[in-house]
Amino acid sequence: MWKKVLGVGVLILALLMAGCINTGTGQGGTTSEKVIKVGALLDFSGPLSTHGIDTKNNLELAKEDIERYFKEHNMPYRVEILPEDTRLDPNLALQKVQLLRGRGVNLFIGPLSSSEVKTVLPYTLSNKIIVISPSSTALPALIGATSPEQKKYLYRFVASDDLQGEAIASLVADLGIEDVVILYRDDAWGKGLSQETKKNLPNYGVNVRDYIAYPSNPSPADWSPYITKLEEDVKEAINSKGKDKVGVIYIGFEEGATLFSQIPEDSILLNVKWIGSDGIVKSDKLLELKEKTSKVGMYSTIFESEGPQEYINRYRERFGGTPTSYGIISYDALWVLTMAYVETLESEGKYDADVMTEKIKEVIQKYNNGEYGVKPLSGKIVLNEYNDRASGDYAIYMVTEDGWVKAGIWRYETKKVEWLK
Amino acid sequence: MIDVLIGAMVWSNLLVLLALGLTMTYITTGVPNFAQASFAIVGSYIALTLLRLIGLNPYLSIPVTFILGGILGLSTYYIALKPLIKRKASIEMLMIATLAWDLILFGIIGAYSEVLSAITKKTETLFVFTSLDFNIYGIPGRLIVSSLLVLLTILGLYLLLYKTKFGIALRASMENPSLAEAMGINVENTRLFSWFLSGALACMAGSVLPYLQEIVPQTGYFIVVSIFAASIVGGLYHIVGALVGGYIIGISESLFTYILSILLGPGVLVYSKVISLLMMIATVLLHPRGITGTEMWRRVERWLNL
Amino acid sequence: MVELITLILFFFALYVIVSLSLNLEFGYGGIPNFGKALSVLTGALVVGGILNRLLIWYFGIEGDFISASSLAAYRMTEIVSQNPLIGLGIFLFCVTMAVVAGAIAGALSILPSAKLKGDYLGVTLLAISEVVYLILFYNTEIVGGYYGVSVPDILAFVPGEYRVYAYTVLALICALLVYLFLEKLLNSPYGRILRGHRENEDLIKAFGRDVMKLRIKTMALGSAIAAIAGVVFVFYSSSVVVNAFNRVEWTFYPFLIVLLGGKGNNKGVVLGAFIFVLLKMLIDFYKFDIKYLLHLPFEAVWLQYIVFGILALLILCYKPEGILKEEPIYTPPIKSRLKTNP
Repeated sequence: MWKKVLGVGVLILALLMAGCINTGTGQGGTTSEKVIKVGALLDFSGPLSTHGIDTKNNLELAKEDIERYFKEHNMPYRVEILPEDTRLDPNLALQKVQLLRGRGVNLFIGPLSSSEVKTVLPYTLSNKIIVISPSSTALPALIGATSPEQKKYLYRFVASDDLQGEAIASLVADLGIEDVVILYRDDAWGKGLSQETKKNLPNYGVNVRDYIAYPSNPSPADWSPYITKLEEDVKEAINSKGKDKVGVIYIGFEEGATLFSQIPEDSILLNVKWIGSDGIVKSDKLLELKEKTSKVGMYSTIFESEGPQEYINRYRERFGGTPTSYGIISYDALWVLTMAYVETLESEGKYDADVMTEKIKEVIQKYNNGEYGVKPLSGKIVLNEYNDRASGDYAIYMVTEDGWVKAGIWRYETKKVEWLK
Repeated sequence: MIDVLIGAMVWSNLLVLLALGLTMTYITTGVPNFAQASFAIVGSYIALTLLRLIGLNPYLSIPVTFILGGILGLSTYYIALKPLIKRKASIEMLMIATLAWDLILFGIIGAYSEVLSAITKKTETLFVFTSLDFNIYGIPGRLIVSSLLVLLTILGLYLLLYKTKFGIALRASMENPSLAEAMGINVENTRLFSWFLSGALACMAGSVLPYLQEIVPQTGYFIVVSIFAASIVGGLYHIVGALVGGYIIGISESLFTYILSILLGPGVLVYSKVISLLMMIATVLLHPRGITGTEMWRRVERWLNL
Repeated sequence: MVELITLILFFFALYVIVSLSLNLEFGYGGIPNFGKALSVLTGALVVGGILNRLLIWYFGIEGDFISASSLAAYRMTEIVSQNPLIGLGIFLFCVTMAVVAGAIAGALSILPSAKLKGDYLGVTLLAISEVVYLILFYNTEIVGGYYGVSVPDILAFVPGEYRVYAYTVLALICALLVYLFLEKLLNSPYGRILRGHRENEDLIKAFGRDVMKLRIKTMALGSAIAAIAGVVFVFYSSSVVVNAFNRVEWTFYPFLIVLLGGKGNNKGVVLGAFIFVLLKMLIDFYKFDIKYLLHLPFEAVWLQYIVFGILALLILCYKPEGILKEEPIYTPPIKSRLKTNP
């Protein structure tokens, strides 16, 4: 027995030693080049896998641009992205953060979901790592942050649900809808956004007729119970208000494509307007079903971003499809992370989380002003005291025969929708 | 209401195909195969590949997925199980081996989806075929095709098991392996046959599954629960059990949940899997050998003259 | 490197606790408890559902449960950072509650075994555990469901960067205590009856023992122990999020460990847990290098699943009886006899 234990022990030691040597030399090609390691906590296999892959793709493009910038300015840095599959499991997310930290990673993009962010949050504080989530939108109290101090190392470059909830409510009212049914994805994201929307709707004179959840883990294979339920509600609403004043709010992700594919051609649901959210905006999967989705508009709000056409073209050429909003946000996140990291190194000589949070403020200013040769793809970055995206306008996209088209903008200042002609 | 019924029927048909394989390999090898659902996802990816690369409609790729699925089933047996069976491993060990195999398949599926994306320039996870489906008098193709597949499978199995010599040997070695072996029947053949068929049926179901739901590499993890529920409710010791169980679980997951939601409000809808699991627990407690293990079923069988 | 070793040790300790409890039920008692994740979840439930409600009530916080938990956890953490004893007190209180709750959950979930055995029992336990998991996941009122709830950091008095080490030490101490307790417990007539139950139930009945009582006792004990792991894990991650307690991590992996280490041998199980966690973490850690080395056209994450699956199969294949074989039970009378005539 003890011989075996000894043997195993020796083997382990050997492995660890090999590992030390390996990471020692793995620090990067030439000695003068410094590697900036960024961990990416994404989902590659589960319900958010399209977002995970899209985020990874955008990070790759950002990495290219950043490295070009380094080369042009003769800066001895290189970016290395280490993508991990957390499968939206908070336990795995935390494990991966620790493992990557063991590889000397202090900068992270992700995690995608709010429940993972919640688990990672205390660790960022105790171990001083900088995390930027491109897509977690739950209100700070729901992810365990009761004061800005607790969230000082965890950034979210996406506005939280309260803002978009109001934009959606305002949009619904502006479309002349008086009666809505809300169908939402039963997870932290779906519930958070749909509740904020539901809270705002009465202020805009819209009545919520029904509030239906569908499971997220997994999302339904067979959507017919939901379709039937929606049809009943919509039918009742039409009978009392007329079909122009009835709408369906869909708060979900790309499983909406499966839902639409199962709605029969002659369904009453295709006679009313549908309103979506940033979860589906510019979704290629929904566009594949445009003979149905263009009938209902799928008016979807997305954090206003210019999203330069040339970038979209570049993305399409490389990976096919269009970048999603969260992907574009992660492009910006990588710029801010690496630039702030470089500035920290230049001024302190080593990584220091507290210096870096200060640098992030400065870098965001510079990035907004285009000092690095690019401007934020997701629009001007302004953060609130919780390090979340503070305010901003929402673009409204809809599905037409020609694809996703920008139809209007919801202005934060006036809280009104401006339609584009 | 009619949509709910159609959706439930398609799902039940697919569950039947998946549960048939599970029950069969359980009878011959004595191991509940946790990788059964991943077989289906492999099938979905084979169909997707043929669709993307040569534009073949997924329904037409069924013969290909059937054969490749069979090979997958056989390799599961040869690689993951046979070496262990030879070493007289316990049943729990075999179960864990199928889990490890499931993990390997999961990794391969994920890696493959990425390779395929690089070729097609599309994200090849989270895909559906529903928009490719046809429609006859308002009946969606997925219902027609999946029902046909179940009918053909049952007919084929019936003819094979009851009308051929091989089938008789097969049934004998399924019912009592040691006695069959004493009679000079090669039990190994039964195992090979069941694993081939199990993989083939599951992959076949997998090429229809994307017509009903979105596929991600993790889908197998989610649906395996329903497959087990179906096999167990029907009875693990009888092939027909998969048929009965598949319909009961499939229908209850959507139709029964829907009816409950009318009575109790829409909040119930998210608990559809809970309902099938509770049904499974109840069946097992009331009658551990499942529906096909009851005395009632014996009588039905005798009446059917099987 | 220190981070990697800490991580390995922490999860080693957790898996030792869970796998030893499974070894008690399955390795010794022959009960295929495929619902192991349920007992770990019970521990988490105690912290998230009971401790948090007590704290909210104590601090008089208003508002919805999830946000109120964040605030309560924050306030408690502040208190603990000044007062180490309170932190440890909370930990012991939660462990005690978890043991009680785990025992009840375990005793209840084994009741179906009155009618079932073998794989049927296993799958039923799996289904029960999955039902509880799904209900807790979708119902955000009980322990926050998919949102999760924050829990206080009971080691907040340790400076930030050392806290992970402190939790690792805590977990290792718990694992050691559980190991010593089980070694003592199982090297006794109880352990022998349990093995008898595994091999031949009727024999136990013939000796006038109540088989059902024995099973209830065993499952209550096993679940109570596993619930401790849940408590440690929850405090370590400072939050209870239900999706962290899925069947792969907390049921299948412990089974793999028990089979790997050797059914019915606690030493073997400890060794198995170590090898398992080590392999898993090392693959996870070095996957990027492997990918780079082999120029693979896909992400390293997939490689990790494939390699781990293959290694698991290989080990099962070459050591079907586990790394260490089952040993005879040395009760005091047997020991003394061995001493007198070796």
